[in-house]
Amino acid sequence: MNNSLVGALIWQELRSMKSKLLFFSLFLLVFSCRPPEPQPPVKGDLEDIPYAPTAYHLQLPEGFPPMDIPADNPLTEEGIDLGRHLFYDPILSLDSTVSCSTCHLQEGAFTDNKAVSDGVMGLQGTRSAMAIMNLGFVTAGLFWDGRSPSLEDQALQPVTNPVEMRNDWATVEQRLRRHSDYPAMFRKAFGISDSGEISKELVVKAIAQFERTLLTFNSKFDKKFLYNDPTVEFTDSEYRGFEMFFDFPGSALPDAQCFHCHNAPLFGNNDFFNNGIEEVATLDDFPDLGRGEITGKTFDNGKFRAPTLRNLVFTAPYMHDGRFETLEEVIDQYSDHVHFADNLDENLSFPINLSESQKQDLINFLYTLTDSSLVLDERFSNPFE
Amino acid sequence: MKKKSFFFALFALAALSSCNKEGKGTVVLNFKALYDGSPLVMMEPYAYNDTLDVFFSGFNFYVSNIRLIKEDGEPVELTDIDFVDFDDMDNLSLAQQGFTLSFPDLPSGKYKAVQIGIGVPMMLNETRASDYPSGHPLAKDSHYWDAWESYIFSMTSGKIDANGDGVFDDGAVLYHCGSDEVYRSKELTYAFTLDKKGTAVIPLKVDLHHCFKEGDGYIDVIAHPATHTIDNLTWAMKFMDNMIQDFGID
Repeated sequence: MNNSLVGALIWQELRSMKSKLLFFSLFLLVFSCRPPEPQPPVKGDLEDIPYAPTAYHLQLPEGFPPMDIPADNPLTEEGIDLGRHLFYDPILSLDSTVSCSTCHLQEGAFTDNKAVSDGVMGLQGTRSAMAIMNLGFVTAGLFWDGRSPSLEDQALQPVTNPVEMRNDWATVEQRLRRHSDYPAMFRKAFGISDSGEISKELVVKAIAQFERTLLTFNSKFDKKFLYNDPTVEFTDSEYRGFEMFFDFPGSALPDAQCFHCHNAPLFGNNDFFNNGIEEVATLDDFPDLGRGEITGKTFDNGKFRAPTLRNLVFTAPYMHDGRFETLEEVIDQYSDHVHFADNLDENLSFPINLSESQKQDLINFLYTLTDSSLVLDERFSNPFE
Repeated sequence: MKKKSFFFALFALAALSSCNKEGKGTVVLNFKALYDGSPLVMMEPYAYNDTLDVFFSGFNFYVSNIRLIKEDGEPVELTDIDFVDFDDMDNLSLAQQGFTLSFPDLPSGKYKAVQIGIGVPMMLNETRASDYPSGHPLAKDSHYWDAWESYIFSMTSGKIDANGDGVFDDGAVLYHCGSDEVYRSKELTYAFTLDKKGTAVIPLKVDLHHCFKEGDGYIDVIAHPATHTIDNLTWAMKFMDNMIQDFGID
């Protein structure tokens, strides 16, 4: 065997060993990068943590309706605290970048001040995020189209929505079960025995509990008309707007037709309307079918929930698609530019035709529905900051 | 011995309870909305008069103080308030079925009449929608008018085609009738027997076109397209007078 042949054989052997080493190293590397296999939850791993939930009693002012609270999800301080954490935690989304609070910011009265909302990976939705306040009083379907019968059901949907959080509930449940803090919080809120019992049902119950506490009833309007505070006075302009808003009998001012869909004290209602903002040739031509997509009835096409008008100063832009940036545009629309359709709400079938000063009076009245305590209340703020 | 007494008591209670149930029956009030004698279908065009066509998108009203009168004159209370809603009756089948209110556990026997009010009685009209939990008929905030401090007793909505082009964009009909002045009530003669464990259906009807009667014709809804009652009490009272007059056994 000549030297060159020996050398070649040695080299080949070395190359082969090198390959094996390389392969082995790569194998180790890949193996070490894989997430650890989920450990089956230890039965009863939370039982040492005390479960003694503290009942939470909503303080509702006189003049507000009683709130429906599901018998299987009573409010507790621990449940509300857990819900608050989950509301602000992006752990629910696919890439841990989007939380409920991404589209429902406290400083925006729990909306995001965008025409349509952002989801994961820069994706955009098709509707404006609804402001979350006094939602516990909504009894006929949540979302703009009313597709969700309860706050608990509503909270299920964004997690799996392909544009919003784009996640799946099994992943979310697994993340929460492995989390350093959440298992104990779920134990304290719901009395589960082990972290394996953390479920989507409990997640949405907690979020719904937190949302039921997001109340606003401390506006100038409330102080004057609900609490009869003698120190609160309306300006002449606010009072004129008030008369037009509610169509006071005997008033010489025009009926602005507002209260039919935005009645006090909630200033929204549990129904769906075509408010004439869309010009369509037929009822099939609405770019967003709204309620019609849920009921399958053509006559419901283009109808949307009448949202609350409270805190409008914080919640621009307006309408289901955020098409109006200012209240002036909104009032102009209702006063002068309502579009006919067979299902246009009849209250808007008569021209309102407000003068410029009357429009301003109406806006000034709407500003009396502002309650800045909602956007400042620390109980509603991000607990991670 | 204690055990025996317990079982005896349980048996007696069950027997008593079943006796009570056997003496009871269910009464169903079946309301039908008509238009010139035919079932009223929402969003279907109808001739209003010689020149106008109309379709309705909503027709609903409160009913109250409903009592059955037994043959011997004794009243049996059904409810102090409820709500009749035809808004979703957008096809003939639904319109033919009508809207039902069911009252179980009523004494069996012979009855001769039913008393009913249309609207919200004065005592209840002093309350407001926010006083009630959701699901209660009076919790409807869309049917409470703050400025009048009254419920809207009946709400009728529709649109008008005045030029015959088939497009109903020539006006709207919007009759919101409320306030104590427009509350109406009536006793209807209707003899029936409610059997033990049985169900008796009382067929009731109201013709919406007849609610708009005025003289030999119908209210001029171009000149008077809407009433919000207080500012237009004449037409609200006219509508409610017509309604109670037409209201009857089907």
